[in-house]
Amino acid sequence: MDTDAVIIGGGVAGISCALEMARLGIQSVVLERAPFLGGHAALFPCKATDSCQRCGACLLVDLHVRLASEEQAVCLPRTAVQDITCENDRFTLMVAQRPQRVHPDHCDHCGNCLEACPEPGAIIASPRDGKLSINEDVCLYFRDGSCKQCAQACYAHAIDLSTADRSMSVSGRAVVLATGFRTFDPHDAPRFGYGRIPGVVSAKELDEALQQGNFSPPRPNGQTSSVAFIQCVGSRDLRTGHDYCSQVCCGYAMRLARLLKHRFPGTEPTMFYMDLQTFDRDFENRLREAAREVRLVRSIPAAVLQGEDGRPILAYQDVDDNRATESFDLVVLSVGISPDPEVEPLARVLGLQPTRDGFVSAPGDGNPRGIFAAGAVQGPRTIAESAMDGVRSACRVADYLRSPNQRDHA
Amino acid sequence: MNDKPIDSRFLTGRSIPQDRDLSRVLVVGGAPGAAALAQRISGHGFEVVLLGPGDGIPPGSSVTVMPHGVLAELEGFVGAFTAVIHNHGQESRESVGLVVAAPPARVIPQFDRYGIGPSDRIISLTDLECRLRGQSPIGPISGDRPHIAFLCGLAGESDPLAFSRLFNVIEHMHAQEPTTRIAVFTSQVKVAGPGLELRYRQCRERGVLFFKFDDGFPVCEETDNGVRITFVEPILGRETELTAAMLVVDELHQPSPALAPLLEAIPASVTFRPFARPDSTRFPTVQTPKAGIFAAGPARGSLSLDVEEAEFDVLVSALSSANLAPAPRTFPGPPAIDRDKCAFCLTCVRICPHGAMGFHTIAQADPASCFRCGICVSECPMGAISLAPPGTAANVENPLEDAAEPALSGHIVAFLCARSAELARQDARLSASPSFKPVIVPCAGSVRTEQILDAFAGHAGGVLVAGCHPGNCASVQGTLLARERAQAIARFLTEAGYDSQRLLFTTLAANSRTDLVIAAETLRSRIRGSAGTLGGPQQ
Repeated sequence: MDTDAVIIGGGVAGISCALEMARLGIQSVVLERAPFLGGHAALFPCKATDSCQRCGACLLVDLHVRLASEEQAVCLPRTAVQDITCENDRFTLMVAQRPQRVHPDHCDHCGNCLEACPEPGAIIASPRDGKLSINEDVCLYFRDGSCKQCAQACYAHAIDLSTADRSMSVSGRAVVLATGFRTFDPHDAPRFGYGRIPGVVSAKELDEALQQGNFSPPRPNGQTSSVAFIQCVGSRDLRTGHDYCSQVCCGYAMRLARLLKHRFPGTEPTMFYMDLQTFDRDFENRLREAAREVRLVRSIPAAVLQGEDGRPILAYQDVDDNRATESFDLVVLSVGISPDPEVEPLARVLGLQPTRDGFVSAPGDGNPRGIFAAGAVQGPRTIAESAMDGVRSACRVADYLRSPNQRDHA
Repeated sequence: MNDKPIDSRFLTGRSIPQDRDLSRVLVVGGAPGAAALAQRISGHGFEVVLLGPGDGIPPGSSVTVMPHGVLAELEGFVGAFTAVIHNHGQESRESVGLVVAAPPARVIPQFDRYGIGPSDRIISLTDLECRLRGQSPIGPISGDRPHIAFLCGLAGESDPLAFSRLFNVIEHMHAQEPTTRIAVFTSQVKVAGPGLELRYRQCRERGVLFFKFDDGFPVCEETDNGVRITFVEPILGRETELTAAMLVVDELHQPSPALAPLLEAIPASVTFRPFARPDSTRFPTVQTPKAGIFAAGPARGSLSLDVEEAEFDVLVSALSSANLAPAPRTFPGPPAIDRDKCAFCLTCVRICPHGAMGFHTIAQADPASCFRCGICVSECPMGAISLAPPGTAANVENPLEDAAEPALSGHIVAFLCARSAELARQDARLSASPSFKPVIVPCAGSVRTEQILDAFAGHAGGVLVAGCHPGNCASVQGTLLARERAQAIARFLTEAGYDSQRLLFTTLAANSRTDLVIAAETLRSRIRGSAGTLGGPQQ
């Protein structure tokens, strides 16, 4: 498959980049590891209360719709890069694409396969439109061939487990690395009790539960439930090796807190923070508004413990510097943005330098030639900033491809 | 207020241009990098008029630099703007096709909010930057290891740009004199920018003291030998006093007032001034609601040099690929105005969020600026505007002719904004059926009162109007207009003895398909809950 530019990663930055390139008359192929495009943004719910909270997650739907009707951009989901070579300023990527095992035209979403499947997480639904897909890393068939229950349960014959992966090569004159980030794994900050104490969740889990509509407040409606948000989990913390601010967490935690309060009026959110970061253009007024709904405590808890009633207890220093303990029904860890360790070898092959924090440094003009980066692979960014960055990378690619010595190769 | 003369534009008319030229660009500059931006734009074959300093632009380039030029008035449409420029007391007119807003941030020192006046010892951050650059003496610093104190973000919320500047000067001073003692009085340390957390930590490691206040700020008094700062130490809770040789006061960053004449050309800007674009993710890059006007940097609300650089890149590309064929929109257009019906009230000119309406003897729409939102269609008191030209098949003016048939009691007619609710409907696989009739509209604000009443007259059991969340409308005010209209119709229905619960207005996002399903269910249960089609007087 020959194209102008190959984009690795089909999240907000990657899709924005592909669409802008298409507008500028540049063909592209987007390679996405996951079955669904959209990356993290696809997992976030709309956080609007009475008005838009400007999280930007809905931008993705626009991008999806535009991409679907764009002929210049080809998307290959379920595709992993295996090797990259470069010759005469032309890059050739060897990729492996997993087949689409649940055929969308045949599947009528009856849910029989989900009921039949014995392994949780083996059949996953697109967060956006519920389209189903098999996760080969979990599915028993791909582990030992022992189970075909979904295929047997599907009366529409939409499930095909047997087709093998397809290897192919994709070549282009530019490569854009837009692989995004990992959310910080809260197991790596054990003092917050994640995975040990019931009622301690990561903000990512809360986001996903809200998006899928299966979040229920810890106490029935009508009763108050106390929810604590702990900021800077995996950010601004040398103990976790993360010597940077993740930039997005104050914003998303505040939006989540207000969303919970809006949807479940009994929620009493408290936010434990170090410094509240400015996340909105009209931040001063927005903060004043938010402070009426969210209790703000300037202290990062030293530890989360389990109380006798099973609920999590936060131990922290209060404003008067006294040791305080307080129990909550739910503790949400505002996990930060981490570099994706799986991207590191790829970045190295492409000759992109790692930053001090382990992200990929934005390449300067033409060095290395034809290699670009877009979005949060370069460090923390909001959804809107990633979209802007994708567009920017497309502009840079266009400049590069139009540069005189490139035209000779074309 | 009342002695304001009538805007001359309303007397002379504002015709839709016949000829357009995209090759001239006006850059309202001044921001750091704006001169380089102008030069880059000219490198793409444009003739550029730059208002503001043109440092580094070689003579003989195709950039006309007016270092003291001030934009006084901007008028027109993409491809045919007229800019009135004041330069050294001279007034000139420039015809340009595209306009770029890249003025510097308005930097407002916070002396007043701290209740202290500027003096030789009490200076702003900009003053200190100038002094450190060697442009003027650093000030009355003497004695053994003098203290320099900073107030930052105590009177109003600060931002990463202010802290980046603060760290710059601290690093600079420590490089010159490592023993300088520095105290920073702040509320929230804003480190949400590349490398800022590291620099914050390095400052502390070098002995810079950061005092964080949850509310209030220290009392500062100028004395003979310095500035006395009295405060309750936030951690120990003790009354503390410190005499600083110099006190540096922070600044707020706001968009430049030089934008005002430009904002006049973007009617929707009344809701987001002094910025040049709404604080909305619908405008993720350099576009403004008005075609042909672009904004970058502080004018957009970006307060980071990295972001500004990205915006400049995007801007150059947006200009060089700007063309007059409007991007594919949701609905065919452009708006057609019925000459016989137009009463020349100019409601459309005032209401159009995109500044796409002009007028000569009747109202006129500029097809290159029109966003096809249809707000003018619904707001025109004479019903003189339709989005598709009259007589074409794509008649969006009255999509209900199909939607209300066949007459079926109890069905829902759902007016769905194409940018949000309709996308949610597709994801929810909520397809059209005899009991659910979606009518796709370009903006909830385009739904006319008659359309809703017609739906009821066509025996709809309920009418759903679903638009974007306020703050997320691509036509800025569309969803608010729709809400107002729905409320007015509900009052009208109640007055007339009908059940106003049968009309449901809701806002939702493209990625919240469940919200649409819930809204439809809510309306359905309301219909079930009351007998007959609309209740009230017997039908």
